[in-house]
Amino acid sequence: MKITTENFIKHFKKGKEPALEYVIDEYAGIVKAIVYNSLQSYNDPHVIEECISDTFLGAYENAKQFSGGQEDFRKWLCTIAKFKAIDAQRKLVKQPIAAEIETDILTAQSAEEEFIYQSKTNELLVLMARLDEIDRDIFTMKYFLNMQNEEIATKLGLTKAAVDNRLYRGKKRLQKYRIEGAYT
Amino acid sequence: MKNIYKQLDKLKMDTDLQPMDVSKLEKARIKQNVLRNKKKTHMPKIASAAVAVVAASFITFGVAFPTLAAKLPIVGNLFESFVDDKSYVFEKFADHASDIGATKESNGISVTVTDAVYDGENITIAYTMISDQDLGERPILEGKLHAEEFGDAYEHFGFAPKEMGKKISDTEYAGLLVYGLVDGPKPEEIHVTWDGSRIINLDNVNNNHSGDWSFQFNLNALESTSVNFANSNITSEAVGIQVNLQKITETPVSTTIYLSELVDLPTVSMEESEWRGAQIEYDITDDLGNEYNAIHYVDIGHSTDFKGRMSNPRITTTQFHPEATTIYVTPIINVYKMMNSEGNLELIKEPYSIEPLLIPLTE
Repeated sequence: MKITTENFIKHFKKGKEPALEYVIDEYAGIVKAIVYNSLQSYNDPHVIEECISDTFLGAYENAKQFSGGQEDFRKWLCTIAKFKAIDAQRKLVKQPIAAEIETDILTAQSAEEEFIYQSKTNELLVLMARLDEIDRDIFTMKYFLNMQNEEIATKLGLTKAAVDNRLYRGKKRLQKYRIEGAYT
Repeated sequence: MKNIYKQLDKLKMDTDLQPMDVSKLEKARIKQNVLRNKKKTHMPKIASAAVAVVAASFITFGVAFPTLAAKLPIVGNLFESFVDDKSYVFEKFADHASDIGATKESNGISVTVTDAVYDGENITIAYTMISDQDLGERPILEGKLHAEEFGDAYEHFGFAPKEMGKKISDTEYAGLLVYGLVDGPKPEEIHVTWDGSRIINLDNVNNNHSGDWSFQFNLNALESTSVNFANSNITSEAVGIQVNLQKITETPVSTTIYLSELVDLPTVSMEESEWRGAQIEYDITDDLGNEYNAIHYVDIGHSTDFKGRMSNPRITTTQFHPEATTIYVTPIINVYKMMNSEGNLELIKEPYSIEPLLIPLTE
């Protein structure tokens, strides 16, 4: 089985390892550029490399969620890279600075935090499913990709005011859904 | 929309960034990382079960045979005891070693030769020492090594022993002898006699124990291939210094590089009358950025007074990375002067490196 530009997506979605290697060979450069762009201020090559690995792992394990051709694949991978980089950035910010605290307390806390963080992400995704498609896109860009309102506006061909507005109203709606959710 | 990846796909976001360079090594690390983490998600249950079984069997073993357990020497691959050493070139050795398993006891110290490898370039012997006496941090077994097939070839010169010793626990010590056959015959099969007569601590030679630990065993040479570079002019030159590549021998466990050094001491040390000495060390790296450990045999002295008199050092290192295409051998020059009348040496300037020798690797 030879992996080529034509068939790699098919094999990648089937979870074939050679296809994964092909994807890494092909896209490591652009993924690195995106990750580097977001995380360079930490000046830690390990963080960057880990994030690159995370990107490919995420793509590989969720390959079934992707649909489209080669160009779309590149865009998808780039977006995942951006998402993972933002994720890493947030975790780094949260990372406690070394201090004399009993380690078992610390790990218990961070595991809990991790759980809450994870469940919040999932919860938010479920709630976002009830929004209009355009609001969903805005929210993803805003909260998962950390984009500026202006960038989002340019990307979607809206005015910045419209994006501000939709975010404001969307947040209110999400709030409402969340309260409703508590009773069901 | 329960999956963020689906949503990210829908966005079809593009980027203006240009791809960055990613080295082969970096890609390899990423692949390894991804594949390892991918597998981890399916493994934990089986792995923990396996650990439990192993732990359980160890416990029963220890309880049922307490005397045997106490006598068991270091478990596992003895070569790996020296993985921290900068001369550690033994990654592949365990796969090619012959089991010897011979034990000799003398003077309250029990020595077991566990494995040995002969690859035509080096005879490598791994052994353990067990004793209630304190043998020190780096004890080794010293003694004459001989093989019938050598005749009197390595009687006085041509060989280079490299000794390594390490304390493993209060009573156990691991040792390695790498006996380099530098200049002389390299027979297919050798009948080795190793007459260990003294155990000596490399950190403190006053801590030594005499005895008689004599071993006999046979070894067959591993397959090896040599490439002669004497006429290919792979060289590194600087003022007063010339290093040439002579030969490379590859075996399933190691790579041995033969060099020749020409050092004009008065030029290099900028000193005419007083005694000066120069020693060249070598750094070995490849085009992928890997650094290789090495055992370096330094030939004796340098002289340009007699034409054609060169030093012929030799470097034994591991096998090179399969994807490497060029090996860099960088000479590092150390120049010494005599510090006092007792012959202690002192560097006269910072060691400096010169242009590396570029060795192309071909299939």
